[in-house]
Amino acid sequence: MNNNWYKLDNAAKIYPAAQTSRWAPIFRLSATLNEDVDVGLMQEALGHVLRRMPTMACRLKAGLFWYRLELLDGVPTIEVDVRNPMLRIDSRQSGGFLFRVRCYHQRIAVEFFHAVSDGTGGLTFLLTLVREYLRLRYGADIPTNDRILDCCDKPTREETEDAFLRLAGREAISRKEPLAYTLRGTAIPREDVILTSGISPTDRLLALAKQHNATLGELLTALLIQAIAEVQRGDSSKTRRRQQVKVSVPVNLRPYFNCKTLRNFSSYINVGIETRLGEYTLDEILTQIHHTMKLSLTEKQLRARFSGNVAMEKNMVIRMLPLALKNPIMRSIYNYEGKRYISSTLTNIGQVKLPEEMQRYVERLDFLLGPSTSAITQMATISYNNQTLLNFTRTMVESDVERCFFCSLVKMGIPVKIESNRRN
Amino acid sequence: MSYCVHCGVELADSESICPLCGTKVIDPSRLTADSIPAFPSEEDHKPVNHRFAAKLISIFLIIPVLVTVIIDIFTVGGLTWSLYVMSGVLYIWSFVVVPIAWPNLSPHVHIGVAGLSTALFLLAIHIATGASGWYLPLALPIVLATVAAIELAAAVIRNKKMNVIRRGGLLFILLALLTTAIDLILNHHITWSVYVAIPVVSLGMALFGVSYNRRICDWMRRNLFI
Repeated sequence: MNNNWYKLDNAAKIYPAAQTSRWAPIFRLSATLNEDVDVGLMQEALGHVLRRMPTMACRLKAGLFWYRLELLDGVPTIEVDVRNPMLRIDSRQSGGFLFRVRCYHQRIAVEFFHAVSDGTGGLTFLLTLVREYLRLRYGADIPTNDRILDCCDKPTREETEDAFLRLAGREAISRKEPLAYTLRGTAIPREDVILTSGISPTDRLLALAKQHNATLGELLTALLIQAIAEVQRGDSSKTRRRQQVKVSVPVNLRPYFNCKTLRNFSSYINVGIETRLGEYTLDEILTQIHHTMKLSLTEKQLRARFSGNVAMEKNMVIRMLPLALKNPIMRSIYNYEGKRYISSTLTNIGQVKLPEEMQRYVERLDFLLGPSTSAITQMATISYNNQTLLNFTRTMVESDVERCFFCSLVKMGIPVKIESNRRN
Repeated sequence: MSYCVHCGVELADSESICPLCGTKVIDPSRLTADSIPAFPSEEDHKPVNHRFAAKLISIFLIIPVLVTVIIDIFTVGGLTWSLYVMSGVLYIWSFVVVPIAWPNLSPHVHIGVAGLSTALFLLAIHIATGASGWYLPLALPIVLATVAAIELAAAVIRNKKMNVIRRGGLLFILLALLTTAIDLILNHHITWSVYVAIPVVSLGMALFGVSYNRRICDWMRRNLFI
């Protein structure tokens, strides 16, 4: 877009409507360095990165028919980290920005509101920020690539485009699915979130996956489905025991369409099993997942999935509806459709390889999902430096899903180290 | 490094109980943790703006009042029927907006305010319908008796030190007292309320007595919980 504003991309249009005064779709990416972070230098680096990635330096403004993103001058202040991260971003506290940066000892974390970008875009932002910080601090000369940008370059058109709009086709497919088993539990205080991280060696996990003829992502998805199925078997309601167990797996669309946008460009597929047919072994679940993904992860199928949403956005009747009416409609659709078809979410950003010049400064990378109304327990995973981080986010007291998941890993011989944000 | 004896997972130094199963960490040779926990202890809080909600509702409530007052003045020439609207809206306001705007006040204050506004609302109706003398001997004492009963009931319910069954017994006795008071106000001597009082007081006293017996309380808790 020109001048100093952008329209929201197609996926982002739902998020400002869906958020409430207490909750918003937020995810968090963090890098742990080998030394305590110099906050002043990091603040300076943040300023440079925002000029390079202008779609991040925006505030949300409401027009008559749609929201828009308006470029902001200035730089958000880096905040102190907290025990309950990823609460809704208050525009008065963040200076209008739709993300916040938090520092804690050696760790620099960025929390993004989903309207600005998805996991891949967020990772690009974090790695570019770390690169700039390392350049300022140590004079490190780190080579750039698709995920690590040079702050001296100008932003390109491909990076700021709404790829959904450009690539949408004419045909859409139905997204109707059978209902899924939803996890339930005892509520925790409203502003609390329980984070449980498991750290396992990537090579051992890859070896295990290879043993089962699967990829790491498929293995983790299967283990999560297996854990939820085990919890489902203990449910007292017969109707709920007969529901399918499905996990939503976000898919980065950029590789399928050769796209370089730094805004949202991902879709999702729901994979799962019909537990009413019996107790599945891990290999049976893996077969199900593998073939569902093979069928759904093609260019034609993925394009048809998001074309339906784009068609809705282009519909004249919907476009002419004032924003004040669109918001409650979108919110009820989100609340109604978002929860019923999935039991949980597993977002896998994959293996991150950093150039050697950068790797010596970065010890660990983390990826977390914020508390959600659509799934009470969710998982995010990232692999770097032979460490696979398996991060669970939960908003109920009961930890059965995490326990089943990690215990099955331990039983298969994979060592797991657990940390959490609980105060005992 | 410690391990959970139940799950078999390794636990970071900052964990004193296992986050997966809640088992306490048992490690005799563990050094008292100097290690940095994964998250600090400071918490994020989002203040909820009660005052804004209260103001918004007040503005919405003023609109019907203004509209009816204007129509009244223009058609009849003074405030006649719009007074009913005004007093009705004021009554609703005292029930709805006062607890939202001042949520930190004790419930007893809120009950008192609701009682006072009920009394004033009835007074307004009394004056507006010709002041035929039912307010002082009838309406006001009933409102006062009901408010007193609700205040006492609230105090009983909120008393955490008392056994639940005992609290239930007291509530039944309060109910009998309230019906007797209303009967006295209406008829100046006890008539129908004795038929209410007999079963209710018996039940209340039975519950009160039973609450001192541990075994029966236990049975009730086990069989009658919801």
